[in-house]
Amino acid sequence: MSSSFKSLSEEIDKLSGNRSLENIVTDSDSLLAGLETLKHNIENDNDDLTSTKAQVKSWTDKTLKNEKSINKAIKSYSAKIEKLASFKLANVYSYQSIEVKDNPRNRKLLDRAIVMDLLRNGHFDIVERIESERDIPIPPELIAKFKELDDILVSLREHDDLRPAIEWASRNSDKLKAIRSDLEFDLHKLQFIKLYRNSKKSEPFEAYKYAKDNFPNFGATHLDTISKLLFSIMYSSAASGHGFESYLTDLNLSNDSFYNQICQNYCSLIGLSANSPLYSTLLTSYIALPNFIKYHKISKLSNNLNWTSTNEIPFEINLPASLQFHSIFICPVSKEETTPENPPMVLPCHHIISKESLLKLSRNSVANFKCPYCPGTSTITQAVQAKFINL
Amino acid sequence: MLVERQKGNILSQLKLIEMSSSKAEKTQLMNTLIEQQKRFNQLLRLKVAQHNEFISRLQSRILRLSIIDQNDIRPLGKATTENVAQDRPTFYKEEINLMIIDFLLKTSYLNRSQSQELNAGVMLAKKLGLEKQVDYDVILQGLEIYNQIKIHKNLKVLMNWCTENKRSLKSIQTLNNSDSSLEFETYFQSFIENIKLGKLPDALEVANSYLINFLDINARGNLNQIASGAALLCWNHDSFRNVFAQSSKTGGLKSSSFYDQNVHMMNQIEKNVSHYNDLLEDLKWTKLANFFLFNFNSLYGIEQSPELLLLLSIGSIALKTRSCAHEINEIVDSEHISFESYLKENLSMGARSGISNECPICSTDLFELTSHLPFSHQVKSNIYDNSVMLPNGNVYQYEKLMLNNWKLSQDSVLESSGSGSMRSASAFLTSLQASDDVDRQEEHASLLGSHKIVDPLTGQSFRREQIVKVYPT
Repeated sequence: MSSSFKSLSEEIDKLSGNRSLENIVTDSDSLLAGLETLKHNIENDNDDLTSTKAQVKSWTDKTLKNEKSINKAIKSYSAKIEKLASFKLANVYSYQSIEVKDNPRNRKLLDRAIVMDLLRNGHFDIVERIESERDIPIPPELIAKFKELDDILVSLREHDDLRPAIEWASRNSDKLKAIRSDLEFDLHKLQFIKLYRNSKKSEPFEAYKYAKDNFPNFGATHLDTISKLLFSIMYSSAASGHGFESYLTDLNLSNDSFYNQICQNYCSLIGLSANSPLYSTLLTSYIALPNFIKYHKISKLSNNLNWTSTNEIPFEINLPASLQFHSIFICPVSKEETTPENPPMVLPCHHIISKESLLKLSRNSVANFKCPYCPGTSTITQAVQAKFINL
Repeated sequence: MLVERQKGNILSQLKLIEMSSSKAEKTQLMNTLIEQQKRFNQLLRLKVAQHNEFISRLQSRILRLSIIDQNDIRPLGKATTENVAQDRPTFYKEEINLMIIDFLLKTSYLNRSQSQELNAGVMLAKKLGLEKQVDYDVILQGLEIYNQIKIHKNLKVLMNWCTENKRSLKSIQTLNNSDSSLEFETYFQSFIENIKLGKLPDALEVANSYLINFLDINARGNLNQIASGAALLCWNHDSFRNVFAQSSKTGGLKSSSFYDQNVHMMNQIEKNVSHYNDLLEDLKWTKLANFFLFNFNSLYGIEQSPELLLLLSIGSIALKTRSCAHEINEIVDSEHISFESYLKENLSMGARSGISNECPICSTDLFELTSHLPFSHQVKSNIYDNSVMLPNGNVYQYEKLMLNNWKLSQDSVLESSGSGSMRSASAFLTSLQASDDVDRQEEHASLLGSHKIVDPLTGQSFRREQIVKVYPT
């Protein structure tokens, strides 16, 4: 990567450093000026053409030389670029892929996914364009919902104004609580701190009034934070050195983090996942791609790699926890992933194995068996089906 | 070339001026000359601007790439990928947006009356300031020619393009080990078209002046094609149609008698003729258009299918687990796609008490699209340590269950997407007192047994001693 990047960037520098074309333009301009002088001279009855002829000749020579130089530059550039390793994505990926060409339904589905992603990002003009271009009607209610989000975000981003966000959060206070989001309080907190910072240190009354108006509702849930916040007001004029001054500054108050939080909570409230599925999936692909490349390389060396279970890729892809959305339990006996058909079962000794393994161990539920992990014995009836839930 | 022409122009004009006698005539000629030179300079500037535009695209791209090169990009996919997105959020966001732009461009429905500025892909690129990162004009030019072939059955643009790129096309052909070349297919198509229109002399003209060039290069494939094309010279579309009409008639009349000799004969004729019929079909235009786009993309180094599709597939496979397949989602088989489901979900939102599913593969957006893709290969459990089971079989991570129940008032925003019934205030307040120590497990143990625990998923409440520690291995 790095070496080809270097040569690529060198080649581009070389090519862009070539000033031949600019020279041609300047020369042609001066030729034009020469012709105009000639016209002027002719008007003044001086029709000596020799100097102009010489000029034309020198212009031709120079220009042809310049032309040659730029052509050479372009040629050497493309020759060098050809040499760089070319990488074809399609070669690496040998599985079934999402196809839209001969599948109008898929195409529309993908268009829809893109529209949803664009809506989340507030690109309403583009969405409108796509709607008319591709004949996919988008219900105005849906657009209205995202417009509201966009309004909130725009006023936060461009005007540093929290009020629309706070207003929305308090209107949806119950729903936010239901998804266990602290957004409403956090917004109040941010507003309080902003007021406090903007006021003179000795007169934090506006912030105090804001606190008095808004914080009592959150006493039950955020008492600790509130007391710290107000404590910092009390001692704001005192010299720093106690821990609470830094408490205010340490908080992550960047609008960005709020921006994302508002986005995510808003989408959760309208029944969508917090992040755009299209975005998350494409992001994942960047992580997964090296695995595909590596597998491709290995499989080229050895022909017999397709050993995997059906409808499954033969290699593992390590995803970060933030991109693991389901609880995965691999049965320690069969080494297979548990599924709703083959769920995890908890034995009386609290070890967990898959249902299929359980059936095998108990010889189709006729025999007592020993837990594969401890001396405990059990029967199939004692096993409890479990469900892993990620909070 | 341009330069040479202009030079000749100037010199001849100057000669005229030299020869002409009157002053008025001279000035007149001088004016034309200056006009010409002006026009030439303008054209020159335009070309230079075009060139510089491409250079500046190259420069801005290399600049963008240098962002990742600087810190010696660490390979993605290693264990260190915990924070790909956090690492260079804008870079990846832009990459993804570029892919979306690329897809929108490649699938744009071209409308001749519509200017490039109104193309959704171009609009998005400009809006995001990414227009230098994508060759939208090239992609759109390709599509334009593609549509000219496929829809308007216009071969002229294609012929011009072939002549312009003759050398590159040849190298593409050798690279792909392909028997047929775009140029040959183009002229062959024009040959057939002339036959279809009944312009036999024109067809022969094409054959004599163009197709003949391809005979010696790779004799077999092209020769056969030309030969079969030549057969059309004496049979036109109508005569084929007559044959088929007859055969279907007979087939219709005696469909019951499979052993009828006549049917067999007709089938035989149909089989023999079908090849020629294919040559005359409109489908051939689509094939030619596709073949052109293949060559066009190879020439400009554009991926044959949009990167978005491939990367989306790759990402989907990586994310797709066996649990994804079981979301309740019905697949309807129709071309009608609506956004209604998004609105429906909203209605049910209030009643929803389950933990929302954040998985992109399970989402309405992508579920159906990814339904035929293979699953990822999972070899490791990702079950949290310290898991506890409630009597209803639901297994949670102990700390998270407690956190959820206690709802810490610390600043750390608890990004839980679970929901459930609200706890009673008294239970909450008592637990709040213990909340400061919540992250130490020993203390939890001592607290076990004194409070009710609510299942965040179902809202059922249990006594603490009902919680059992389980051991997923």
